[in-house]
Order: sequence, then structure tokens, then C-alpha cells
Amino acid sequence: MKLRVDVDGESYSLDLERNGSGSAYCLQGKEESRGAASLVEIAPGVFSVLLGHQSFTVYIFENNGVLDVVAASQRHTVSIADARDRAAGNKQAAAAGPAEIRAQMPGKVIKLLVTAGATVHAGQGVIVVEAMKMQNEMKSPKAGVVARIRVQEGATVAAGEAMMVVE
Amino acid sequence: MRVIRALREMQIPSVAVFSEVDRGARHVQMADEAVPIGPAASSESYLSGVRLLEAAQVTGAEAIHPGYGFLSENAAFARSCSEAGIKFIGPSWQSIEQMGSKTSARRLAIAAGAPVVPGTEQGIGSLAEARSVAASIGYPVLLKAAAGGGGKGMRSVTSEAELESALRSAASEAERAFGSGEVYIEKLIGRPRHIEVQVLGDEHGHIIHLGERECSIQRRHQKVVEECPSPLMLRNPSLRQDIGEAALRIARRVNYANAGTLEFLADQDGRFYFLEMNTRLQVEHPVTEWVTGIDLVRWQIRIAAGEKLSLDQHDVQWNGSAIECRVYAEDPANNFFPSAGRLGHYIEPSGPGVRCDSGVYPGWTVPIEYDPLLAKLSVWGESRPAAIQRMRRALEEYRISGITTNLPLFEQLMTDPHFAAGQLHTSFLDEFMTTFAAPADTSALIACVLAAAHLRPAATNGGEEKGAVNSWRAAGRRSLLR
Repeated sequence: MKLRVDVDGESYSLDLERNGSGSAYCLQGKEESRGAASLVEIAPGVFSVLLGHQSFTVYIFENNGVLDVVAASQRHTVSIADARDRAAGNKQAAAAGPAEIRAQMPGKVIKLLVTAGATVHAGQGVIVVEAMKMQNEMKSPKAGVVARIRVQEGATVAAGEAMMVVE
Repeated sequence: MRVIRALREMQIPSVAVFSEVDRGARHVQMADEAVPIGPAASSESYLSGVRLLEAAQVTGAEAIHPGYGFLSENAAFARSCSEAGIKFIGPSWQSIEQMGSKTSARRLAIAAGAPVVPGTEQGIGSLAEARSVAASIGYPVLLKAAAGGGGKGMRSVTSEAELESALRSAASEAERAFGSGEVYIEKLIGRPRHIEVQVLGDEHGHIIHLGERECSIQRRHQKVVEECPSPLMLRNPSLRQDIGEAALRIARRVNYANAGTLEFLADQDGRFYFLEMNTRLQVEHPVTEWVTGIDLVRWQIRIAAGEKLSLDQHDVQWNGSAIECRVYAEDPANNFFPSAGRLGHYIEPSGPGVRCDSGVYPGWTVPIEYDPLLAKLSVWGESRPAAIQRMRRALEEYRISGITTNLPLFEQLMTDPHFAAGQLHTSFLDEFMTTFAAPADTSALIACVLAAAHLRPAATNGGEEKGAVNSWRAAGRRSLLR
């Protein structure tokens, strides 16, 4: 079967063929890797994975519909969909549209670094938010124009609250 | 948790206190009794001396161990404990008060004949005064909040042109953080190392030192990796005795009793200067316990009970090498920004020479109200290289899902040749971070993907993205239940 896999925002296609307790895989992304794997769920959300003879223990934690996956020192956010599904394509289309800058956790807006109408480049700092006594400069995810600013300096924001829109 | 464990071993019943958000915390589960002391805001719970004393009185507790942080270095609280007839497990309130301000601690150190960093002994009154002091000790200089700690109100100034604005911002930051805008000036030591000395004294005038800890690996002036012995001592063994004796001279000036730590800056040649004293147990005390075999918390309790310290200076032996890493819920790749959320899996390392002091468990939510320290992982090895190897192994066993932690940073650090060579200084981590990137491991990524595909087979049947739909439905149902 063919699957579309999204790992940390990067898209991969996975070809999986089961044979008994093992399976043959082919993962295509920036580069291609293929091989044989054996997989056992040893506790809820804990998998023993053998890639060839290389042993991994993989921990999967489902959080708000997203899979948080840890193996070796690596931690990835993974979502899985059927290859025929259009969702991944839609997501890419969305990336081309407006981007909202949201608060990661409850906090306070310390400083607005841009004004509405300003042109920003991807990665440019646009707003400084303080949470847990730490100031964090949030960056624009894309190049564009600041379409809307929904908060003022000094405002308290909730986790996930949209503070700014870049188009 | 650390204190409760010591009490258990001594068969003394324990009482934990907790704020509303900490009802589910592990120290509450572990203690014999637990008392709520107020809302999440620490100013109305853990920082409220009145509530703490009430909790002690309600449960009939004879003593309070203040831990570290919160009220552990608050002379007024220690005083109200003694007035209420409850033993404060720590030094006398007078000692805390005398060491409480960095400027007064500095005067004491000078009186004790201990070396201090050249600079002012009092807060700077005016810009003109700042100019003349800075000129006389020579740039670069460091501005520091007299009442401060943790890097707040601290500014380095490389030339006179920067002095005015640095002074203004340091004073206003200090005012906001500590309620006092008093700022002083001292000489900035190039590439300094942070070396501190553990002391332990009883209430009968006997005091010894337990050697040094090196805490030069810091981010935002906060320690993240500590070790004993300092690599500096390995090169220059007489340094331990010199710095230990200087520490004892200062501690004796205030008749210091119980556990305390004197912090020094050392330059790369091993010249050292007294900075300040922490009149409490330190977060990083396990490395000293590993190497000396002395249980500091147990001694704190025995000393507070009036016992004599049965150890003499020559009884203290330093064996092997210990390292501690402070595991934080924070993202090293994003300027150490705190990471909130719920812990998924939580697997602590174990095995020979490994100790993990933690207060978390799977399903626990990192409270946004407090410092996001999850655990202190410490290891012991026969030598420093062995300790580093053991720390690497322990870090590889440590698995946390659900939130971002600084574990990958420590794994990288333990393979760094400069760290291995002991070439440490307080800007080490800042410089290290410029090259830090979480290592990419294709095999681990494949393992992640295959396990995820195994967990979500629903998405593979039919092509209607059932898994995702189901989880949305489940989320909808959960929200109806709230």
C-alpha cells in the first residue's frame, strides 16, 4: 500500500508491503531508502522496530490528533494519510495563502516589531511575547505583507490566539 | 522529593505543601501528609510565609525545609519561623540577611581576606560616579543588580560610550525584577569559569568544605550542567585547598551553620574571586554527594536538630567524577523557549552510577507558572572521561515524548571535544549553540514513520482518511464532555 507521510512539515511517500510479522518498505522524500523491517507493539504506544538488525524503540504519543514520535534522540511530528488523499496538497495551497501568527502559550504581548501594511521576509521577527518570564520573538513564517494586527502591546493572549496575519 | 526521601530514610514523617496546579505533583503523592497552600501564582502560595507557617502549625510540623528557590534565602521568613517556634532547616536568619545583598557579602569577603573581583562595594549613585569607577578599574566592566540573581539586571559594558544606556536599562530591569534598582560595577573577567564551594557547618561553630563544583555551562546566566571536580582542579590540585579555605574564612564571618555555597569566578589560570553566597541547598548538590559520599540533605536535617557535625576536614575525600544535567522542558533550537504541554512517555535512565532526581510522570502537564525543570540527571564515573561516557549512555536511555526538552543538546555536548578537554567558561554554551543542530538520523526517522503507520492502519484502508476523521470525531466528543 502507498501512504503519504508528513514528518515535521516535510512530505514523504511510503510504500509498505507486509509479509508475515515483517514488512518491506520504501520511503521517498529528499532521498530514497528501502529495506526490511519487523515491528512489535510492546506496550500501548511503544514499538520495538528492527530495521534489518538495527534495533529501535519508538514511543508514540497522540496529542490533539497529532502523533508525537520519539526514537533514539529524535523527536518527530508525524501525520499519515492515504496517498490518494488530497489533504496534503490542500495544505500546501494553504501555505501560499495568508499565514496567522499564533501565541504558543498564554502570555503577554511585549512589543510589536512591525506595523500593519509592512513588508516582511520569511523568518523576520514581528512580535515579542512574554510567557513563563521568558521573552520570545515570533517570526513570520513567510514573506509577504502584514495584513492585520489583532493585538496591542501589553495585551494578554491565550494559547493559540491569532495575533497577526501575514499575506 | 529529595527532602522527602531523606526524611523517609530517617523515619521522620513528611508534610508536602502544594498550590492548586500542583495537586497532582509527585511530591504530594510521596509525602505522608500534604497541605494546599493557595492558588497557582507563587506569590500567593509558595512565596507566602504566612500560608507555609499555617500549614506547619496545622500538621504539627517541627521544622520546615525550604528547598531551593522560593523562600529558601528569605531572611524574613527564616525569622518568622524561629519566632513561631518552628525550626528553619538552614542557616540563621541573621546569616541569610548578612549574605543576602551581594554588596554586603562582598564587604564580608574583603574583611575575611578573600579575593574579590575589583569593583564597587556599594550601589552606584550617579552616572558620573559610574564613569569614574569604570575608568579606574578599566573596561570591560559588568553592571549587576545588588539584590539580583539569575542574570536579571546584568549588563556588560565594553566602553564608556555604552555606559549610560546600559546603566539605565540595568537599573530599570533590577527595579522591576527585585524592587530595588541598586546597581554596582565590577571588572569583567575574560572567559571566566564559575566555580563554587560547598560548605557544611553545625550550630556549634564547626564548619568544613566539601570541595568545589564547576558550573560554567550556562544559558542566560543559569546553570545547566555542573560537575565535581572542576577540570581546573585536575590541572592544579592545590587550588581546591586554597579556594576551600577562602570559602571557610568568609562563612565563619557570619557564623554560618548548615549547608551553603560560596560562588567564585575563576580565570583560566586559576585565579579566583568571591562573587556571592547562596545560603541554602543548591540544585546541583548531587554531584558533590556522588564524589564525597556525603548525604547533604540528611546532614542539613541533623544539623538543624542540633547535632554536632561528626566529620572533620580530613575525613572528606573526593572520589571519581560526577556530572549533572538539568533537564528542562525547553527548545534548545528555539532560543531555549519553554515548551508547555503534557508528557506522553517518560522513561528515566538507570543502571550503574546513574541518579535521576525528578518530579514528573507520564500524563503530567508542565505547569506554565513555574520554572520548567523536569529532572536532574547526574552520573558518577571513576574519571571525568568515564563520567562523560556514562552521561552519554544515560541520555540515550532517557526518552520523553509529548514535549520538547533539552536532552538532544546534552547528547551533543557530551561528544564535544572542547567539553571533553575541560576548556570551560561561562560563554561556552552560547558559542556551542551557534553550531548546534539536532542530529539527523535517517534510520530513526524511518523507524518513527513505520511505527506511526502501524498505529494508524485505519488511514490505509480505503483512502477516506478514516484515522484522521475518527480522531476529529473523538476530539469533538471529548469537547462535548467538558
